[in-house]
Amino acid sequence: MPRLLPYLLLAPATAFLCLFFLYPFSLVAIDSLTDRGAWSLRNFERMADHWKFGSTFRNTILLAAVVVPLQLTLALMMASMVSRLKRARGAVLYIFAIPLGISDLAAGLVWLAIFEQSGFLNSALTGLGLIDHPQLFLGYQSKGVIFTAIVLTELWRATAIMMVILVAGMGLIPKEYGEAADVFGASRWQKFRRITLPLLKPSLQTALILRVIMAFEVFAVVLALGGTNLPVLMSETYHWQFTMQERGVAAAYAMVILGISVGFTVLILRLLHVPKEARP
Amino acid sequence: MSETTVRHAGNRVFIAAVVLTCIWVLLPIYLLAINALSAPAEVTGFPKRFWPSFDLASIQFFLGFRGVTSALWNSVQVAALTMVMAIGAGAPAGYAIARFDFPGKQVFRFMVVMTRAFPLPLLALPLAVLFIRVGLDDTVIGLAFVHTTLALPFAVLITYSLFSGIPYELEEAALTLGCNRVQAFWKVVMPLAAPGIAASAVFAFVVSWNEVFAAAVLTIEHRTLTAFLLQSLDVSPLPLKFAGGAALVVPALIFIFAVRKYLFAMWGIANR
Amino acid sequence: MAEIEIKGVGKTFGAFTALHSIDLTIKDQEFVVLLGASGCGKTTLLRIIAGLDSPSKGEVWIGGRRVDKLPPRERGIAMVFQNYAVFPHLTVFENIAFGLRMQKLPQAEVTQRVTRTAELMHIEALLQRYSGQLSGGQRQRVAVARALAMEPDVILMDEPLSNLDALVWMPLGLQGHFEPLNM
Repeated sequence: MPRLLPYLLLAPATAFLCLFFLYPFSLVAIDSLTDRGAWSLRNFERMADHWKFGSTFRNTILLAAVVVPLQLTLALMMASMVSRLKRARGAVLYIFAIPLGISDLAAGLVWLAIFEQSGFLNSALTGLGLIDHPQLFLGYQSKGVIFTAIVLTELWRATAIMMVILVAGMGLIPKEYGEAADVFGASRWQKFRRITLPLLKPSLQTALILRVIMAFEVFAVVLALGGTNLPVLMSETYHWQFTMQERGVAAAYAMVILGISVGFTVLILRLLHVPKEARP
Repeated sequence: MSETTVRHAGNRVFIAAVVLTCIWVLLPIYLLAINALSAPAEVTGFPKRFWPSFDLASIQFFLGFRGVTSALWNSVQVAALTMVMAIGAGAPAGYAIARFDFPGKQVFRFMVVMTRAFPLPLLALPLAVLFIRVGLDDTVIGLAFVHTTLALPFAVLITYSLFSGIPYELEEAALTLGCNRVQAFWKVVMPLAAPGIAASAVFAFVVSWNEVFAAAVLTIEHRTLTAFLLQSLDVSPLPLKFAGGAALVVPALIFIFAVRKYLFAMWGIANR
Repeated sequence: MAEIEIKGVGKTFGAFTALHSIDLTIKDQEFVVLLGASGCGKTTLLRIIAGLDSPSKGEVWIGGRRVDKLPPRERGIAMVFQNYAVFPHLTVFENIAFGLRMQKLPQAEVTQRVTRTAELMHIEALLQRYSGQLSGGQRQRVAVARALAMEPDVILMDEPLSNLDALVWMPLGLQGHFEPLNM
């Protein structure tokens, strides 16, 4: 093998990642830490002093805190269903995986069709005689409903990606372990709790990291359903960059998102660490 | 109750759970389809019917709306460019880390995996300024560069797993049968890897097709469909939103169907 | 039809020495079997002769030509791999024809040679099948047929006895038709 061949093959991808990943991220960091050409924390101060920052930060974290655990449970249930299915496995898998291809904006619009004032939820409720006239679910006074609608949309849209990772992970667990547990008299639940879940740790890790970062990036779903009524970090970043034309503050927001993303990645890696000796 | 009755009941609960979950996924799409396939008056009217009237007026209204067709075309161009660049740069890298051991390999793999811990759409912020300086602002290719950064790590990891799955012995056999390295790759590795590479290309296309934030930040005149829909959210009438939503969803459904066999091969490797 | 000369060949992988210094001459038409414990370097030596690995030191000569710097395709060898390496995307026919097509032989000659070697290995009924439809023994016979069809100066076989099924067929075919071969 010619010694240079692998480097030649890696060159385009490496150049690309340096130019469009490492370099821009260093630019964001510099943008956030400079003010009119001098090093300063003013951008962060202006971000934190703005009256919206507190609720923006809280909304983002709260959404992630509610969505991700629910989603993990649902994804585990769906993955277990799929691995237990004998007939129609392919069809069910395809249906479960559909939301994987749907963008957050499209998902927001899908659920807007349900929650808007002349939408399907109001139609169903009046049809059943539960309410007399259509309700305004997504108004600025009903932040609770907007929050619930966003949670439902995120659950609907982004569970598929976790489910697919978990199904793939379950496929990697040799059948003999489960059969061995059967021989020793384990129930279905015990098998799941004692065998599947621990062996699934690497997949859980991947799924959680990916999903938590997606949760901090939540953007179009929120805009589609709540407009500006429920600000999140990403929508505020967009707002500062575009409407206010304050790139420094937008960069500070970006650094906050980056910070919590990397922080949670490290945390998940720690919590779900599998020692090398214990890997199959 | 005898044990078999318990088991039968358990099975019935299980099947019911599967069916319910399928409905949970499919029902919202069906409701969007009703809106997209009904006349604008029905879309804004109340109460809604739960089956479509198959009136194409909403779709016509959407397609006739100013800026929609060019937004659609921009989306297709950006996604196609992303697909070509992500596979063009990603597949050789995937091949290199699957086949060779060389100093620096771990550094490269670390860089690729690290991209996952970063909210990549934020890249659009500094690039918006940079692109103005080099004349790439508001261009299809500029946005495609950002989308390629999103899709490239996937392309590398997916092709890496594909090439790892093809025994090196096959290439060596071709070498002893009169091929040079390039011929061995094209005659033996490519035919075996092609379906998987096509699937990861489709995946790159979908990543770009669906991306909202970077598209909205980087395009002004040459908006993609997602950017167009996002920026007109406050002002556009409902029929436009729902027809637009359907226009985003339909290709996604087809793509996921096309790559369904590879979804797990793609994600199975996400663990390593 | 060639003599193989191995002169002081050694191979190291990093700090590990796989072959110290091998001197070996295999006469034209000779049939030589390398025996030894697993991990003693049999495969490494075969791969160096084939050109799949390059020696750290020493020379390899085939038919009076020094070949250790040449790529495998220019050495006049054919090899049967340990796991057979039958191409899964090609039929048995196309597998056997693969090397002949690389030499750009006319179609008539390709067909004739493939048919002949397939008959020799008793796999003429399998020509339209794919690797996935074959048993392990059948797959090995395809691999052997693919090497024989090349009519090479030297045939190298890695672990040829790993499959008894092929063992039954091989000597029968080879005695009748391919005596002038190094194995």
